[in-house]
Amino acid sequence: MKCWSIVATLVGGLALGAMAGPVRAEDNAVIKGKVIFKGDPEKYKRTKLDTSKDANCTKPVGSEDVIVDKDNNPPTLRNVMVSIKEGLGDRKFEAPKTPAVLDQKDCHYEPHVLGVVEGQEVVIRNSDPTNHNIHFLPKINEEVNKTQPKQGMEDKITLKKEEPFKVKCDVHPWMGMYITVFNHPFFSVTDKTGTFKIDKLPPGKYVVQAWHEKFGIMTANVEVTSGETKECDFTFEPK
Amino acid sequence: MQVKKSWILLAVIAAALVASAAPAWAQAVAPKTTVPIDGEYGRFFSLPTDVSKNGHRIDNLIHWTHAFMAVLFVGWGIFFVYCLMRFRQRPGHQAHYELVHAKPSKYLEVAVLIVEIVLLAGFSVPIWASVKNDLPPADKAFRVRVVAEQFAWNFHYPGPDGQFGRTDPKLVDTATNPLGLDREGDPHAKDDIFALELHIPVNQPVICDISSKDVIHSFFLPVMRVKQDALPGMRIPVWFEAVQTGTYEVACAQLCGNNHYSMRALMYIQPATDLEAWLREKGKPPEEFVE
Repeated sequence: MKCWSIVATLVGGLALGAMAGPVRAEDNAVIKGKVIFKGDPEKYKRTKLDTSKDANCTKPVGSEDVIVDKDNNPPTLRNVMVSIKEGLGDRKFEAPKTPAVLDQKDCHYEPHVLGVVEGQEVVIRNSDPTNHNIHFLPKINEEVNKTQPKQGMEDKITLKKEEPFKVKCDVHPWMGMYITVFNHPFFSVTDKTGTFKIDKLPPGKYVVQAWHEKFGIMTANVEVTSGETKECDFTFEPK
Repeated sequence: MQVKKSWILLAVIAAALVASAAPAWAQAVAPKTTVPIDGEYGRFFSLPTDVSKNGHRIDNLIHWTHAFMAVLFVGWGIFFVYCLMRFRQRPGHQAHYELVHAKPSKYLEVAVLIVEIVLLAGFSVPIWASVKNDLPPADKAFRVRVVAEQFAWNFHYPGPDGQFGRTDPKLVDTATNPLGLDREGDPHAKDDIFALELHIPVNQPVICDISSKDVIHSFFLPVMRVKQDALPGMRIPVWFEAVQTGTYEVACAQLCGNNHYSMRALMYIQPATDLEAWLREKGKPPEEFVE
């Protein structure tokens, strides 16, 4: 009986290890691309936000809900979360050992859109010489509502369930950002260049999703083979 | 272990002294603002500075109530000590525990009742009716909508057209549109002004319509003697008139969450011309942010 239970434990452990195991050699496909903005960029100019509530917020803070980088050709959209929505099947992926960092700096959040893997640690830091109160507003994960009154304070949170949600500061009403928790590490957020890159992908057929806080969701079907790099652009055209 | 009663008494007195110094302490540790605040906000037992037309009436009411209560407190206190000594157990005398039914005590009770009725019906109700209920005519008043949220005061001005635009909770964006103004759909909303500061004219009645986005807050203008709960789903008007220019505090007087302390804004009482200039400036399209 004992012997069987040891064998069962070993087999079970090995199976789990294989499911959430290291990246396989053939997991090296890449999906990359650009998120293009089609429309009048002048309509979506960033504005200076009123930060007069706190005299410690000395640096100007700009709106971040829509950031169009009009100097790029064509103009691109920043802070778009591009991720694999479907196609990974039941494969489990290990959470990265390095924590994701969410910094409260110059009275705004850095980054504005953050992706984390289930079980990955998130370090919340206050880099400002003022009080911040970080408030996660999830529906499935546990709510986080923490005050960080001193500069340099850090809190560590682990998010356990797949879910996108908003984060706000209870002291500074203009501060807001978004966190998305994934059950895999295949996501990327567009930057100033408007580009994204999802690498180390297993070969397969995928539904790729692009999410923007104002303009919603777009999807595309992409098939990649081992070692292949596929281009996939998204175009957001606000009505 | 039995604690001596005198120690308890001392502790109570010490706590009362600490509590009386709380407003001054709170003023000292309040969040830093760019502008110094005018006026005093209660040193020990004094009331805050009063810069309103009707504030003295509220103050008088508070003073009269305190005076009557002081008379009652001292009177009952003396009587209590007298009874303790007069009816105590001592050699050759049993302590009395039964009530004494005498006419003077009846008269005294009736007198207290009359004082309380006078305070309520004679002072409080008429003052409340005129100071709180009788709103000044809308065409003569300066009107502002005050929207409370955890943890800020949002002020909504109607703009040059004098009409408040439509708001919709679905349009609320905490950074760019905290009021949820429908600037695209409603022409009246196009010129509406949003600010995190309250600017009002001096020597003109002001009506503030108070509401809340989330929980119960309380709109508190200590120097105006105005305190009104902000309730989600209701828009409650309060009015006041400032008689002196200056910069004063807007506070939240209802414990509304763990950052309740930071729910503070500034109230600027200005001459009408300065206020118009500020509204013109604030009404301009928001400045572009360049990285």
